[in-house]
Amino acid sequence: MAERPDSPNAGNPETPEIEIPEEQLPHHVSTRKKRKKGVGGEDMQLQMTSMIDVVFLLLIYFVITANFTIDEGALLATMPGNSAQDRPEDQLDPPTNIDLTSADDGVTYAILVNGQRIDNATDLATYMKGRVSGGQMAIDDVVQIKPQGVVRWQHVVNVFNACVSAELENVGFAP
Amino acid sequence: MSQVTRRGPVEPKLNITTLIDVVFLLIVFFMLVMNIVTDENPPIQLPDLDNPLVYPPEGERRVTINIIPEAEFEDELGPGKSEIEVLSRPGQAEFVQIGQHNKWKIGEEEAMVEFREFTKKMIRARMMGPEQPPIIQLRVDAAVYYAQVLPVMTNLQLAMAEELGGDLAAATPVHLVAYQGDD
Repeated sequence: MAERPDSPNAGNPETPEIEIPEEQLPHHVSTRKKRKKGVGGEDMQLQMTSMIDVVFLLLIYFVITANFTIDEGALLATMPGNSAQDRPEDQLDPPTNIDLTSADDGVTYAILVNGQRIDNATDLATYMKGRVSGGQMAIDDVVQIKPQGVVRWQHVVNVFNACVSAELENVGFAP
Repeated sequence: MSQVTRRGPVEPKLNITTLIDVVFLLIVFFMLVMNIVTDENPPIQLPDLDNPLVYPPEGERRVTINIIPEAEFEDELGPGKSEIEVLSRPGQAEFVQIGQHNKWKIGEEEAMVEFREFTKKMIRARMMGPEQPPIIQLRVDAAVYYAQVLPVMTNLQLAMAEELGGDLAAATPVHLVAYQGDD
């Protein structure tokens, strides 16, 4: 079987080529052409149907997952009533109070840092940074945010974020 | 099945295409199952900060506490909306829920006790290790009044202190969820 040059195994890499005697091969026909006729050559077609199947699956997967990832992030905060804030040594230094008040429209709000009025969160961040670098307060001083009941959560988190961006470490909410 | 024909033995072949098909199906299935975690986040309009320093919290196991507003947001939710549009909605909260579980009315004494008990159960169930509490997230709609959030925060702190003990509870921060900036 192996002596036949056009046997189905002629193109198979597993069959060593030495088994076909050189003199039996016509010189003008290349082995490459022979391989095309073999069984292996017929299988080289791409199976489009199953590939499309897979591609559609991937498409559906990405369409579904795209809705999941809304760009959310988080800020670390301690909750009011935390025992760490009630320690007597913290009571020695009076905390920096940040009061938040809101106008009736619910959109505008005011920040009062120990009585000093500041317009918005961006200004608060610069003000607190200035206080820290000016030596008026240390980074680990207790800062308490005291919002009025009608202040929107948007402003509360914004003020908290401003304190964090001033690299203050002990920011919390007043109980 | 290998058959011997006149042309020699037929080679058995693995049909890789269908195998890949099935494997991809399994991958998609498992990825979707993993993403059930994100189902704990009902759609709300989160705070959009001026210069956000937020980052995605790390850790597999989470307890997410959501405060849902009374007024639903008509438009599609997301960052980059005008503050007036977001904050002109009424600031009353509809209810608080943990993931998508239960709905507790904020301010009702009985509901708050139930909320506290359920929070303790969730923390216990999702501990990441003996001294490793899960990531506790607080997702509140931007328009909600602080007066509505405060009782939830106080009860959450109580639940943490009762479940984890004072020192561990004090060392465990709560993650306030907001939109990430574009940067």
